[in-house]
Amino acid sequence: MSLLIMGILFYAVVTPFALVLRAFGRDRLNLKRDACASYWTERDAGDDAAPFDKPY
Amino acid sequence: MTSILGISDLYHDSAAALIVDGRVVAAAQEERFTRRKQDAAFPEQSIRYVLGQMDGSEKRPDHVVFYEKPFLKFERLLETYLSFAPRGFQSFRTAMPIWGREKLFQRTLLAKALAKIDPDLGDQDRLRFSDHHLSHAASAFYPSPFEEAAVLTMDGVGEWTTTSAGIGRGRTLRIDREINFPHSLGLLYAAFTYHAGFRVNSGEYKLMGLAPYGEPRYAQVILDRLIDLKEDGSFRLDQSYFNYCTGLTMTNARFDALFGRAPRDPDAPIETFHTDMAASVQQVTELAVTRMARDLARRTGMRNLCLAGGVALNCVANAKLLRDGAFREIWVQPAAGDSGGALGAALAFWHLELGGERRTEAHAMRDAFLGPAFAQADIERALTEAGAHFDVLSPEAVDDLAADALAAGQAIAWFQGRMEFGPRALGNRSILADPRDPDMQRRLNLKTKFRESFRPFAPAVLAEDAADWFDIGSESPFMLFTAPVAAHRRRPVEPAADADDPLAALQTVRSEIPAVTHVDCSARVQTVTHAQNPRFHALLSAFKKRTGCPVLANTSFNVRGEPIVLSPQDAFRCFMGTDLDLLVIGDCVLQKSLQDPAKLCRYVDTLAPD
Repeated sequence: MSLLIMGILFYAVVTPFALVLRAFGRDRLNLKRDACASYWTERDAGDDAAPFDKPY
Repeated sequence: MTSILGISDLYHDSAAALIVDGRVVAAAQEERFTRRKQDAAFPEQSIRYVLGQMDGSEKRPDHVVFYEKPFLKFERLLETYLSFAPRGFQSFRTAMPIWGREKLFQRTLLAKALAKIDPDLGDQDRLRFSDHHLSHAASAFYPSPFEEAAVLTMDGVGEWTTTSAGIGRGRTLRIDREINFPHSLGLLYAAFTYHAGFRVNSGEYKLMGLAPYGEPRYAQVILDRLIDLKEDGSFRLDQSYFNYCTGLTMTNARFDALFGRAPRDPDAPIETFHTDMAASVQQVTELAVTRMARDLARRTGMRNLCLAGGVALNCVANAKLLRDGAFREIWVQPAAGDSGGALGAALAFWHLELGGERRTEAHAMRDAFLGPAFAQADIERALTEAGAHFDVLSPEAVDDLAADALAAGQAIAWFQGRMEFGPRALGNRSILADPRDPDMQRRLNLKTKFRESFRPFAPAVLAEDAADWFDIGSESPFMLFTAPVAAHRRRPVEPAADADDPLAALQTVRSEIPAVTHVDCSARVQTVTHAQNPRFHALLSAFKKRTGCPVLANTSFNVRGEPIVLSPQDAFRCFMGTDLDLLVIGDCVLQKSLQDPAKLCRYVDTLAPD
């Protein structure tokens, strides 16, 4: 039963959404190789204030 | 007085730590209390223990800080599905119900669990959350002996971050760059650990131990196909070879095809292919870490480096870094894995949120003895209740008796003072033996720890004699750096290749201390000073007086599949289940021959897998 729900959720909701996002070029995980010199990403200085009161 | 409780929980290695005015007071990992290895449950007993170490009658911390941000982790999970769907259902159907049931309600669940310990801790609005790699970075920098240093953290993955770099100065700590999931040195190493037939999250150490047997003949393939490694050490992994984003395994069929082999069955023998794979991923890891460190040194101008995160437990890579010379000194947090996140979360909150002062000398972690200790009277009571027969001697007489036994070839269990924090036993919950005995490595593994092991034991050496036995220029109090055995301690070796069993090479005697010498003549050195551990230092000195050798083989006091012992009860039970002849707890001495035979237990039948 829960398998069915999980299946519907994954294939009928997540998957179409994912395909549309990717069709628009979204690559949130940086899956592509890049000829750039560096893969480091800068952390915003704002993150330093580290909002300790939030679980996000 | 400001006290802060740090907690790590839920994935692996749950732990609790307590700091008071910036000083680390106590820390312990939950597995030691529950006796379940790498227990990921809420660390209730660890919390009770660390709070019990507070002064005064009111055992209540001013702040409680969790080591990471659960919602960001959930976001990463969702983004991963969006990046791979329709692939990924296996992972989705396994992970989502757990998140729906508990992990999303982390704050509420944590508050409830804390309220059981102390009703006043149950206010969920007072719970604070650090960031996973900020916790690691804080655990690396703040307890280090450096006024200022570059900081590098590397692990599997936290929320998003897998690698981070920054600078610590005084009380400030700033992470300025990072690499995000799924690109991870920890996960790359874990993938090879999995493919070699070892358990992810604990077998990495075995893979590292396997590497010296092999040739890095796959290193170029890894660099060409699996990882795109830039000059500055940053990297991306080609996910088409891995399965950890979408499935329940680390690698996939494409990975197998690339190397021409499926993952090793854990019961199948280890072949040259496996040792070569281990050597290859080890070499690539060292290359990546070295490039990152060089870049960090160039960029920051710092002379010192602090390391944490699970990858920092790779003591071979740490030693390469030290020899590379980009940094003059390196300090590694002994609890570099997620258990240390509890400590780091509390330290980050103290310095970054409360602006608490950092006194480098007073706050530095000179040793890792942060766990429970037992008073002599309590030890005697516990042993009497357990039905043990023991003698109580003076400390000097205990050392003499133990050193005599060691010199006579016995392995002994040695239990003193506070338990270690972090994965290594450093002389307070250790099994010790004479490293000069060529058969000791094999015998101790088979008869005492009930495992086969292709790794030598680690040497504990008097710090003042370390340079005479190992090519080591600095202290290594936490067994987190390897070093070559000194040239004049080595023995000439006839090359005797055994094509069928690449691991047979370990039986060749390569030095005066073969039980702790690896096939490449390296050793995972622990240096011991009087200040860090007077009792262990005295025992090493007593052994040296008898034998001229200031080195003992040091392995953790446990058997296969079990956590290291915590209490005198655990110690007695473990002692009675192994062939150890002598157990020392505090000033109590237990001879196996004097114990009630009815209390012997047969561990062999009940062992959990390693």
